[in-house]
Amino acid sequence: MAASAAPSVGELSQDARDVIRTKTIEGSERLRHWIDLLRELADADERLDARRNRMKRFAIGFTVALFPTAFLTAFGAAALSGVAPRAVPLVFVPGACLVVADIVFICRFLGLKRVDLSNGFRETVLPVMEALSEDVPEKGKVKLSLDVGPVVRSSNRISRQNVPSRWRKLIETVYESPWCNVVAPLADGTKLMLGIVGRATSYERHYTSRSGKWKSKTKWKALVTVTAAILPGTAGLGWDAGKVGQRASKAKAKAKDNTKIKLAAKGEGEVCRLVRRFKAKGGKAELPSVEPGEVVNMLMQLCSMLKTSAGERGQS
Amino acid sequence: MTDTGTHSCRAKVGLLFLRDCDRPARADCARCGRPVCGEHAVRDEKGTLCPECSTENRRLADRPAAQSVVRRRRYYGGAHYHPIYFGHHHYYSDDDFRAFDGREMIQEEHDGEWDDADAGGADDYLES
Repeated sequence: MAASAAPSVGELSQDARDVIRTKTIEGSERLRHWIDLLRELADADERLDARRNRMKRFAIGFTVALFPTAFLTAFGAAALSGVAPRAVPLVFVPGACLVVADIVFICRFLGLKRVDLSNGFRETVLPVMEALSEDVPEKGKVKLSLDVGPVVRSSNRISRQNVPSRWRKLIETVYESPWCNVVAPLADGTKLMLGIVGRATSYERHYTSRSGKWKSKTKWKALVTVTAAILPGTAGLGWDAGKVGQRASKAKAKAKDNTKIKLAAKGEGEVCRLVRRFKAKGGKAELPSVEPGEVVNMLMQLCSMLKTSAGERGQS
Repeated sequence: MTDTGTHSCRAKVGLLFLRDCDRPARADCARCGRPVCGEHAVRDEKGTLCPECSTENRRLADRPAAQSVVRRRRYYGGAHYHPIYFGHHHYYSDDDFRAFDGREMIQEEHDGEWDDADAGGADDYLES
């Protein structure tokens, strides 16, 4: 395991080490168990991220320092070769030390990169779970399926094709990862489902520059689709079709809102799904982080469309 | 600590839906008199406070028992959310103005946001 590159990983629980090794979390456990595990992983990931960034800075610094050192070494060796040939090997010592240190930092950086987890679980999933901790019954089992690896990897590639364009070649590659799926019972028997799908698309543009050289440039587009759904459980709790219709038409009217609401039959009940998309553009293959407040807001929007004869609204 | 006999804790729990804690009460809030269990009791030098009252004091608002109240206020405030309450103990805190006149006002304002939408356009989203 790459844990040897980061001693703090060894201090983690067996479950957390397994997650770092496999990059997946899957199972049906109490919410408290998941929160504890994710909190442990989040702390470790933050520590490892900080350490990795430090190693990266050192590696870059030492690599930059190698250039003037190589120049000075060559100059010193040339100057000394006529005066004191025996001292020439000594001139190479600082340069050699720099090379060794640089290799050590690069190896440590790569080792820490192998154990890195994507940040979505600690920026979105954990805070949402903490916010819902009182809604889920203590003994209720929460089904969780998390992929904490990077979205851009060969197993997530769903298509790669040449796209017709004005450039010499434009290759579009799409990676998709349904990295989060949560099914949780709420205290009154209502079921809550939350799914997050990340999609990263790269556009690799090959073109000929004015000087006649072949060049290429890659741009990324990332899209995160969050689906929140609620299946009312308690007798007396159901969907207010009027409110659902109003919200659905409002969402449809707003083209930029990227929100869809859908009511569908499931078993004996009706499930209402709220889907929202978050976009990001740029040079990096990173998925946009979804604020936990946005997810909780989606769930609250769903719950506000419920009508009940068992309870009442208004007290907080 | 006050002996509250067979009273149950009247702290509200939940975010999407609210209900009563209903664990056996261990003390009464020194400010509002509400019975609270050990988990929801926030203790300071002046006595025991319930989670709602403890949020008045910034020093106590960081306590775990007060955190859920702080979280609820933060999320509800931004979204004008009125959760369904499945409990039995009706009470209002100082800042629960929505439970009185303001409640209707905000509800009307909130409903108004959606009035201009074309209700017929939702038909294709609905499946039975």
